[in-house]
Amino acid sequence: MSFIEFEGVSKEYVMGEVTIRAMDNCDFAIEEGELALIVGSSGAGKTTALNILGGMDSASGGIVRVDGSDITHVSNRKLIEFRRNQVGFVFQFYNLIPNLTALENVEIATQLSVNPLLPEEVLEQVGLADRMNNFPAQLSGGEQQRVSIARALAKNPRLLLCDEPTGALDYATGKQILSLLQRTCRETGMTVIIITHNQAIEPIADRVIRMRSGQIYNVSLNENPKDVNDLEW
Amino acid sequence: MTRALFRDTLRAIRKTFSRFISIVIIVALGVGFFAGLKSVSPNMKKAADSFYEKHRLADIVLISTVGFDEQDRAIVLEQPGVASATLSRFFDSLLYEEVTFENEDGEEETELRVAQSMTGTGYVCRVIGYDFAQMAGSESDRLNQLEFVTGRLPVAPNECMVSAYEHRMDPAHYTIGSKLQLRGDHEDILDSLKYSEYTIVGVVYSPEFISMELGASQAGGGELSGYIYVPDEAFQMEDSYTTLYVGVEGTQSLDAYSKTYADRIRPVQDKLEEISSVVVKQRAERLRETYGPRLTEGKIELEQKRKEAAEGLAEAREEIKRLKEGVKEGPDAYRRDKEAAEKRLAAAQKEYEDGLIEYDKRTTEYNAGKKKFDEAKKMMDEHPYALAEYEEAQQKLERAQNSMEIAGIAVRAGKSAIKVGRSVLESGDQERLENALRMLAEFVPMEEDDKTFEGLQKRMEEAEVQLAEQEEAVAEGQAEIDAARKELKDIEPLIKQIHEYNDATATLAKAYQDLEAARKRLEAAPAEIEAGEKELARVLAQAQKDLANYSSLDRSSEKELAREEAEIQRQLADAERTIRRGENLMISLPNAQWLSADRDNFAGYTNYGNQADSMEAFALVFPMLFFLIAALVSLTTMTRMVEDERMQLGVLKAAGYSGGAIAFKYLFYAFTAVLLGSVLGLALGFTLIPVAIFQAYTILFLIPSMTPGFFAGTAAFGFGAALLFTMSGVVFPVLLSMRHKPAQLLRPKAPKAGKRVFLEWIPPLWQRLNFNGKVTVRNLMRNKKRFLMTFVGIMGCTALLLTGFGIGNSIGTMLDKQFGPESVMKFDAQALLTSPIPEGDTEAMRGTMELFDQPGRIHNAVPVYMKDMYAGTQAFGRQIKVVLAVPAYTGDINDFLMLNDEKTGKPLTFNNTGAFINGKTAELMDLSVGDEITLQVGPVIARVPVAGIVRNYVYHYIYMSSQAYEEFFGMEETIYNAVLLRLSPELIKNTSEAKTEKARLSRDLTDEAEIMALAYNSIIVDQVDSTLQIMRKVIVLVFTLAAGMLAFVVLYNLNNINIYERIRELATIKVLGFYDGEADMYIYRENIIISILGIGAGLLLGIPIHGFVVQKAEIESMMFVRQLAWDNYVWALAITVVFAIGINALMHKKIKNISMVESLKSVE
Repeated sequence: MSFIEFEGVSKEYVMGEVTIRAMDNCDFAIEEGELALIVGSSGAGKTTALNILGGMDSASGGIVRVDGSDITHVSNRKLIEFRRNQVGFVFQFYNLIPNLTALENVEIATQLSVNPLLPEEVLEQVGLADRMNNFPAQLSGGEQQRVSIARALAKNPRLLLCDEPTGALDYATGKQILSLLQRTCRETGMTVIIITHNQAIEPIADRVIRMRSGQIYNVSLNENPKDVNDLEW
Repeated sequence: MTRALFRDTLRAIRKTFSRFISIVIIVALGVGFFAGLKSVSPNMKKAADSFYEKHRLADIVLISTVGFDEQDRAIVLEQPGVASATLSRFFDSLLYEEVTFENEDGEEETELRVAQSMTGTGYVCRVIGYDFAQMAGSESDRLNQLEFVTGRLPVAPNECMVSAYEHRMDPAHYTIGSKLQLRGDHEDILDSLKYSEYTIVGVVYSPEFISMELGASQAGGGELSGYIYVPDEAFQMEDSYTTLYVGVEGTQSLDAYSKTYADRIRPVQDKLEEISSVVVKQRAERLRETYGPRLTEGKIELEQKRKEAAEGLAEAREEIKRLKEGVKEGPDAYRRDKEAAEKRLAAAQKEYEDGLIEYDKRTTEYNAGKKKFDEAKKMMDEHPYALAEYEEAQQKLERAQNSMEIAGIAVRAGKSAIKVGRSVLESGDQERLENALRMLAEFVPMEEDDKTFEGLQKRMEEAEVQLAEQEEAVAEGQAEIDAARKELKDIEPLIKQIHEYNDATATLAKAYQDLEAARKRLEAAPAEIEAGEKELARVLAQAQKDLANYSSLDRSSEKELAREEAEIQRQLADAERTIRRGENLMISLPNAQWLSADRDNFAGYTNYGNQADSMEAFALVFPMLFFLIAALVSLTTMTRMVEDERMQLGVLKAAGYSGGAIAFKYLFYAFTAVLLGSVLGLALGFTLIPVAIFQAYTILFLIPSMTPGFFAGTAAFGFGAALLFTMSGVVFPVLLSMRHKPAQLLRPKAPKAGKRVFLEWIPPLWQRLNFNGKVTVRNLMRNKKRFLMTFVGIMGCTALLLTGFGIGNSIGTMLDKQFGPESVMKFDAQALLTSPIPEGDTEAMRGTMELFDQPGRIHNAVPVYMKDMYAGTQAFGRQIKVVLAVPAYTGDINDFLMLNDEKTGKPLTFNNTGAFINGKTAELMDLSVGDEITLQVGPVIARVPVAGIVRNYVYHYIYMSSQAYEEFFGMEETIYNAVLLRLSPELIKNTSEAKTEKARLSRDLTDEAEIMALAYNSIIVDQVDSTLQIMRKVIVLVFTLAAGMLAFVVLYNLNNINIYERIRELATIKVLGFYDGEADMYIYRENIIISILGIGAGLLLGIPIHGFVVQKAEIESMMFVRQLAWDNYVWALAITVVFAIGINALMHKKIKNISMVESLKSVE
């Protein structure tokens, strides 16, 4: 059994009289400790898949299992617990709380978790040892995204979900961020799932899941994923 | 403004409807309260003015010491400026009522007594003459016209009409059809009026008396309690009037209470005073001609009467003596009855005792029988078959004996047959042979050949053998019988016992019956004894009652006589007084004068104006608060809206719209809200508030109706103020965004940067805060505008509530503090003396005070001189009515009055250096200790230094020691006219028994000739308290509603914006895994802190607001309790907390429903 399993998952949004199928009977699996990439163009349904996997949204049909337990048919409270203890999120627009310093933004996550990492250490790990006491407005985009990653990592989750983490960043910074994520996956054995529209970075992943119009059309495994730093795109 | 922009604005309103409505409501509240409260005064004055106009209320009132007649009127009419003049007359009488009570014999008795006024003095009813042909609305130019309300007009001179106010407030006295019994106060009513009884036939409105306060009177306690209108013909004298009303030219069109009106009156009044000396002298001359001879006649008549009275009294005394003797023989009958009853009781007692002995005896007997019975029974139970065995044995014996006898007989017969045979054989007699053979045949069978001697021989031998056999059998039978006998003998004692048992059973049954009979007898005995005792008690009671009847007959007839005597004396005194008055009139004629007064003379006229003005105070407090909130609400709303539409602003600006055109949208948005709110506020404020307040005032004033008017100036001002405050909240954020270039606007606004807050620079404090604490503090500081708005909103809410509850407290507890058990007037009742007792008359004083020596009913009593008078100072410029109280001794005065210093609350002790005045008087006249106050009663004027200022809430009281009173009023001695009473604790409980007891005490005391009336403070409290309690509830309700609306608008609006602005932040923390409760607290923490700060500030702010409002709302004759009670704070706090919690609970759902996916998706 795989760590993450999607079985016939569908998602429909009803907007007035129109029903939009964001995911249509999707099946895929991801093993623990893998760096998985969900690739697809805008509107392919990849964010929906991530939201469902992160317990932020619920599927209209099918079953999603994480480590063997069904997260599609559980109470709201259980879902919150799942998010709280097992998942770390990294967003395209960082979503840092503007009123808190970098350190505090990490702390807000660690105070929830059962066995968190030390916020200072995590920030040091992502290379922000000097900027801990700055507010988000005083940080560059890459730094903000690193705070966001630190916030996700500090909870010590089993699953790290990243929604276009480099989407708002320039090439070099984006590369740094991806490198950080790859390193994290390698070093901590955390399962990292990255959503991107950029097919060029496919080689860095252990597993690539390709989506189009709400459907999975291809899943491939890389025997020897490339190091981000060795890749140019 | 283009159509597009206009449409855009409408769309914005629809999109942000809840915010829009917030502004509308808050503006409506502010404008509504402002316009409503502001319009109370002009509305009330307008209502009064049209009422006065309709009734042609006189502008000037002339009063003369010698009265007026038609000639006087004619002269006044000739004066310049005088438009009309009306003669009027009145007589101040005492109202009597029939009181039904239960006398000592339990019978109902009715008596005619002076009715009690609200203040507990005699009820003074003014009888006013009126020409009913000239009612309001008729063409007549009579002044002070009445308006017909209901019933009918009088047709006979002994019919009257009453005012609508009395008709409503005092239905016990004033219902159509009831008869009013009137008497003169120390004079005969029939001297002035033709009748002493008037039937109420209808109800009128009168412009003279518009308030509860009716004015002063020479009669009774010095205060009018009611008035009636009778036809002019009811008065005795034809051309003699007490009052002359004057109408001034051109005043109809002027507003009452205005300065132009006052200026118009003044010169006319001066002119009338100027001519008075001449006119009054002429009148005096006419009087002297008429009354001089009459006076002489009267004196002769008086002498005659005095003689008749003396004779009548002597006769009555004789009658009483006779009655007394007839009473002596009562006791004999009683003794007879008592003896009979006692005998009966003794017999019953003896019967009982006998029965007791009998019963004991029977019991012993029964017990003995029972013992025997039990023994026998025991034996019986041991040998259950004894009787059967015995019977069987007996039968056996009988049977044995029978067969023995038969056998014996046979043997004997056989033997004799053998004997015969032998003799035959010896004799050989043939003849006898046959005979012998025949005899033998009985024993042995005979054969034919036996008829021989051989045969006989043979047969005889056979018979002998047989006999021998038989004899043996008999011997055996005998043995058997002996055995049976022995057996019987053995059983016999048992049988005997069985018989005994049977006997015992019978005996026991008998004994039991006897016992029962004895017991029954014994039981019957106590009833008999009780009957006997009852009889005795009855006889005793009867005897006592008889005795009481005898002695009460004795006493009541004496009392009757005393009363009659007093009555005769009173009549004589009245007659003397009339004569003396006549003489005094004659003496005063040379000094006769007119007094003139303006409308202030009409009771309630000035007070009504003051009341109307006092409402203006409220018009300031409420609206200011609401307007301030309106400004803050619009500021936050607009800031939000401008930020939301930043991009659109950029587009518009880029498209070439000018800054002004774009700003106009927001101004138009706010303007629409203000306009709507103002219209709503004006519509409700101009109608509900004046009507409600006017309704409340109808308790105090009688102006029949008020139509709320529209006051353009007030409306414009209210709208303007609302617009100004609201717009100021709009302009600031709009101008701020206008400064940006379109390109800047098109980019999303950088999120508001986090900032260090001042607390972070104080590490010891900051480090002590936990993480959530830090976040909360930073968030609080992040948006100071919202912080301020919520703070002010909560503060306003709490302050309003505190003010509301405080005013409730001020009004509601006032009476208790004035009349309650530990209050200013601790005394429970006030007894009015029939004839005042001078200080020097110690004997009369002792006699009177003995009446109050009633342990168990009256705790303490002190004589006092109480007098209504007028107080003023030079600087104050007018006079107010006060009550002067002079207690006879001041030693235990603390038992009756609590004279505590107004400021410190410490008890003051009486001294002789001046007077204690009440706080309100001191405040009105701006007096402090050592200043001088002028007291006037009739012609006597005294200047008294203020020795102390005491706490007091209702009316104005001035206290002086008798020494000080004598000194400052120049009196030789104090004449006490009342007695203050403290009742025993049992009588002041609020139970029906206590009430009955109080009624009984009242009757017992007023039965005494020395006491005219008794007034309980509790009666005043009961009458006024219910009204005050209703007012209290209404005020608390209005304030709570206003505060609730305020809190709702502010908190709802704030929370809404807060959540809207931070939706991304909330979504993020939800994604991070905050539980619902944690996410709520993330927002609530700030609200809680602001609420706590706001409530604290509100409780502080409420204190001065309450003080201000209470002081402004006070009427002249009252001082509200100005302090707040601790529970006012508790309520204000608790209700604010409830409001806050309620609104936060509404927010919970909103936070819960935030969609993480949606909120995180869009970045503008």
